[in-house]
Order: sequence, then C-alpha cells, then structure tokens
Amino acid sequence: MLIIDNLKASIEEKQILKGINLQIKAGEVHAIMGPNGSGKSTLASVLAGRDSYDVSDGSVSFLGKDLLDMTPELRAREGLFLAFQYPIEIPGVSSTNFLKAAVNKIREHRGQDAMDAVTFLKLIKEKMKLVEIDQSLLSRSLNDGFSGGEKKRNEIFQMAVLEPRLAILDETDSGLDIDALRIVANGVNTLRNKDNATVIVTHYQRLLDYIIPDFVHVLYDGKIVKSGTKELALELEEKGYDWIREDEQVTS
Amino acid sequence: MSITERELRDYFTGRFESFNQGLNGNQSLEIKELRQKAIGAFAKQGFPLTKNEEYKYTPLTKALLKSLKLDAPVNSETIPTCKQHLIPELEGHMLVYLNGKLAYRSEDLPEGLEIEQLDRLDQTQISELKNHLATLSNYQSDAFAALNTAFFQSGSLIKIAANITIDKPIIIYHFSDGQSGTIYTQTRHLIMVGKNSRATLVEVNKNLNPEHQTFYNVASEVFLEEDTQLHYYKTQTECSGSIIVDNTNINQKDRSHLYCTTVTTSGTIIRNNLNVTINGEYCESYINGLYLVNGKDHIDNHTTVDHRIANSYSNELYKGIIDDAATGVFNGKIFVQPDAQKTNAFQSNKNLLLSDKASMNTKPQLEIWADDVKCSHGATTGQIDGEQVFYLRSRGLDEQQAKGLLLYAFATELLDRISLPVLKDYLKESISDRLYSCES
Ligand SMILES: Nc1ncnc2c1ncn2[C@@H]1O[C@H](COP(=O)(O)OP(=O)(O)O)[C@@H](O)[C@H]1O
Ligand SMILES: [Mg+2]
Repeated sequence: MLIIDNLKASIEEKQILKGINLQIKAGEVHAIMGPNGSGKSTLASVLAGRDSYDVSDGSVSFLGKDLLDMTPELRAREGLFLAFQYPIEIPGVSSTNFLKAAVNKIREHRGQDAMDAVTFLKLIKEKMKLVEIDQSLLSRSLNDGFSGGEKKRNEIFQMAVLEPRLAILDETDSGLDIDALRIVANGVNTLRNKDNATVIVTHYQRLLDYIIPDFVHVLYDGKIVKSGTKELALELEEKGYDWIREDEQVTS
Repeated sequence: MSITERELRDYFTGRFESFNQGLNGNQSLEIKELRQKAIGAFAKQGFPLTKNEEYKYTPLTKALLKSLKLDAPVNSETIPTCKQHLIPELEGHMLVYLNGKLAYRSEDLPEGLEIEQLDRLDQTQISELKNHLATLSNYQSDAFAALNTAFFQSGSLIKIAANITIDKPIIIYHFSDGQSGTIYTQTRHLIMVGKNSRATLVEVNKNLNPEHQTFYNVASEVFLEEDTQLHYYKTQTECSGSIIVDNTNINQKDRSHLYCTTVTTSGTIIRNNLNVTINGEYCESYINGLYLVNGKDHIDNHTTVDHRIANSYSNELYKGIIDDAATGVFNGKIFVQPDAQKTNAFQSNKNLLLSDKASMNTKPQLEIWADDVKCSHGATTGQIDGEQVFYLRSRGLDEQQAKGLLLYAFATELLDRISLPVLKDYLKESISDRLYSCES
C-alpha cells in the first residue's frame, strides 16, 4: 500500500529525514516510535503534503501512485489520513459543514454521488457513537476552544467518517486519559480491516497495549534504526531510547 | 479631461447664490442661514487633498477631479425599475431615492412613525427642529458635510414617537444610475428616536449603472433619546463606479443602545465618517463594519466614539478582506472625556490581505482624559493562515474551497450579529460567491 524509499526531507535548510525506508501492506498496523525531535511528525507531515518541507531525495508510492506528486487534497481523496499531533483550531467554520464538504469531495473523487443530508446525518451519528464524542462538540466551530483531549478525539472521529485506506495517527495518545485512550483504541480497532492500514506514531508504548501493532519501528535522528514486532516496543519501554542510541553508535 | 480643485470648488460656491435664491420661497430663514454658514465653511476648507491628515490615505478629491463632469445631466439615462433592485423579501417602510430624488415611499406608516421630506418642511416644523437639524453635523471640519449642508435638496425626517416599537425596518434606498461624471450630492436624513422606543433602520446604496462614475454625498444625523434602541445597517454592496461620502453623526442619551453595522463590498472610493457621541450614562454602542474589496476599489472607514459621560460601554469591530490592488483604510478614534469615568471602550480592526498589491492603512487613535476607565484597541493585518488551509486540504477540500471557507468564516463573524434575518442572509449570500472564488 505504501512504499517509502530513501526519503530525505529538510525544513529551512535543516535536514530532518535522512533516508527513510518503510513498507506498509494492507491490513497491517505499524507503530513508529522514537524520542522527541527524531522526525516522526516530519515524516507524517511530508506524507500528508505539508509544503513547508523540501523533499530532496527518495520516493513514496501510495496504492501504486506517486504520492509526492499529489496535492494534499488529492492524497486525502486517494485515502490518506493524518490525525494531527496538534489539530488546528478554525473558528467560524462549522465542524459538520466542513466534514460534509470533505466527505463529498472524497466521494466525488471516487465517482460517487454527493451524500444527501439525511444519509450524512446518519453516518455522523453512527461514528459519534463509535468514538463517544458529544453532539455539542460538533455543533461548535472546528476544534475551536476544544481541550487537548477533545481535539484528539475529533481527529479520530473525522477518521471514522472519512474511512481512509491509510491512517497516520501522530501522537494521538498524548494528552488522553486512560478512558479516552481506550475509546480511541476501540475506534481504531473497529475500523481496522484487511483493506486498510494504520500507522501509529507515539513515544510511549501505552497505546500499543490496546492497538496491537504488527510491526514496530524506531525512528532516531531521521532514520529508522530498528524494526521489529510488538516486543520491541516493550523493550524500548524498559530500556529507554538510550539503549538505541548506544546500539546506534555501535552499528554506525 | 480633468478639472482642478479650484474649478470644482468654484463650481459649487458659484452655484450657491442662485441655488439658495431659487429655494427662497420654500425654505425657512433658519435653513437659509444654515446653508450660508455651511457654504462659508466649505469655501474656506475646499476639497480635502491628501496633505489633509484626515484624508491622507484616501485620494478622494483626486478621484473626483478625474471623474466628474460639471455639465453632466443629472437625469436618469435609463428608466430603471427600482423594484428589481430592492433587497428581495426585505419588508419595511421604504424610501427610495433615485439620483438624489425621492422616487417612491411607502404609504400607511404605523402609529408613532412619521416620515417627512426634509426639503418640504414648513416654517413651524423647521422651528421645532432647531435643536436638532445640523447640530451634530461636522460641517465645520469636513468639506463634504459642509457641501451637503449647503446644498441638501432631498432627504427625510424620520421621527419615532416615545414609547413605541416600530416592528418593521425603515429602509432607505439610495440608487443612482446617471451618466458618467454625474454629481448627486446632498441627500440628507434626520432621524429622531423618541424616549423608550425601538427601531431598525437600513440604508442601502447601489449604483445601478456600474460603468458610470457618480459621486454620492449623503449625510445623516441620528438622535437617540433616553432608553432607546436602534439597529442601524448600511450596505454598500453594489457600488462599483461610485464615489461615496457618507457622514453619519449619532448622539446617544442615557441608556440608549446602538447597534450599527456597515457592510461594503464595492466602490471606486467610499469614505464613511461615522461619529458617535455618547452623551449619557449606561449607553451601549456596538459599531461594526465589514469591507470586502477587490480590483482597484478603495474603502475608508473613519469612526469616532466620543465618551462624554460616565458609565457607558462601546465596542467596535471592523473587519476587512482586501484583494487585488484594492486599498482599505481604517481610522478609529476613541475619546474618553474627563467626566466619562468608568467608561469601557473597546476597538478592534482585523484585516486579511489576499494579494501583494492589496494594502491596508489602519490607525487606532485613543485619547483618554479620565483615569478610571477600561479601554483597549488592537489591529491586525495578515494573510490567510497557511496551517488552517493545510488542515482543511488534508481532509480533501481543495485549496480554493478551503480558503473560501476560512474567508467566509472571517466575514460572517460580523454578519451573524445582524438582527434582521432577511438582511443577514442576503448579505451572506452576496459575499459567499465572491469569497469562494478568490484566486489567491
Ligand atoms: N518548522 C520548523 N522549523 C525548523 N525546525 C523544525 C520545524 N519543525 C520541526 N523542526 C525540527 O525538526 C526536528 C524533528 O521534529 P519533529 O518531526 O516534530 O519530531 P518528533 O515528532 O519526532 O518529535 C526537530 O529538531 C525540530 O526542532
Ligand atoms: Mg511529533
């Protein structure tokens, strides 16, 4: 589904991603872990198409197409979804109107008719239940004045409504209490199927108790320095990132 | 061919004598004297050039000299059916001015509402207005107010009795459709809201012939007695080709509430002078403005809120979206006089520039002579937030749609405060097409 080959990217002349290689197949859940500043959000942003980054080398193929060649909206319509680490507040823009516009853009791209108001409302209700989000949040402006946890939950709600092929959750667990964490995990697990894939970016292994990853990768200083199965996450939790650091120095 | 300031000034001062003589039989001595004073004030000031601090960023006179033709006939070129230019479904007590002349007025006014033609008042009526007519006008300091005061030929006296609520809005349409270069100065309104009464007033300005440049100079004086409430809306939404100067002076007495919103979406040059004097305790004034300008249009809002008495509240918010090579000007004066203790006065001006050539000059001016007050002001001029655009695009919205949504949200914050649903929807609709198609 996603093939990242030797991806290098920089921001303001500073190289952040230094040659990322990663392959994700349909049906898989991958976790990307790594200390603060290692480039996790940068990777997520480059994949979503944020234009403040310069990609200097490498390629990304998504469902057989050149991802880096697409506008952010085209990536979304092709089925990529990024749950932002810091969701943006947009005062004055109604959550439901925005979501309806997004749903219909994606449907249009797939050659489907626009969703009528009744069907859309039904869809919204169903997904609201799934992530246990309150109606009152949705009647407000998009993320406007939401608490950290509310914003994160709203990201997962949007994901549930848009049903992407590949979802990248950037630190969706941080700032969530254990109940919220369980709800988010439940949402992700329910939506999981053989045709879609999920990337969970986190620096705690906490969330991985609820969403069991097929693969765990460690991103360190712009590179994936270690990959393994869920046991790697536990090992990281136990030994900390210094362990990787030492290891890295030995191997390099 | 353009004319000089001197020629234009002489054109008006030269016509004054015969004009004033011509009206002789129809006007009272007071008015005659008033006109004399005003033309004197005008002759002394002349048309403001950009070295005049108040017109520094607005080359109004230059535009007038370029576009006015002193011999252009004032008559309609087309015979418009005004009806099709009214705001659809906006019901109310209507006054329609075409090229500065009253073309239509609603009959059957409700109890407590009196509307007279200001230029047709008899001696007794004028005497009764002695304490009101031209007492708020800034004709000594503003050439356009002076010109209007000297030459006003049409306009209305709108008088609302005490203790009454006028349910339907009073709607004044100012249409012009004359040939290029035509001058329609001189429409003037006097609005008096009696004690403990409530009303809504809408003023709509439209140029029906946008290829043609016209000059429209309107002045209003508004008196809010104790415990009144006035919603006052001004729309300048189809004014391409117009040069408009609007001088509005409002006086508030104890516990009166003013909700004033001015919406501008086109105009060669529009200058709005809105001056609110708070002459009472526990008054509230909400003064809002929205301007969306593109092409080479120029919008200038000059506002003054003068707190003279203690314990009142004013809140001013002007927002603008400026595209292409258009220009916006905002000057907001707040005065808090020594007696106006415990005043709360707030002012904010927020602008979005959509192109490199768009410009905005904003100047808040606070002068506070009382010590126990809460005042604040803020002004921002920036671009659409790239992070917000990216967020929306990352969900599948295209760039133009994302920007349109953000611009619309920015603009509707003000429109949502409009208390007349029909007017609110009309304005929202009229801006939405434009905002969703911004290129930048
Ligand atoms: N806008 C920016 N300008 C300059 N440096 C940035 C910017 N955004 C991120 N960085 C830098 O890029 C590096 C990686 O950041 P990020 O991808 O957010 O890390 P992570 O998500 O793994 O914590 C950090 O050193 C950070 O300081
Ligand atoms: Mg991060």
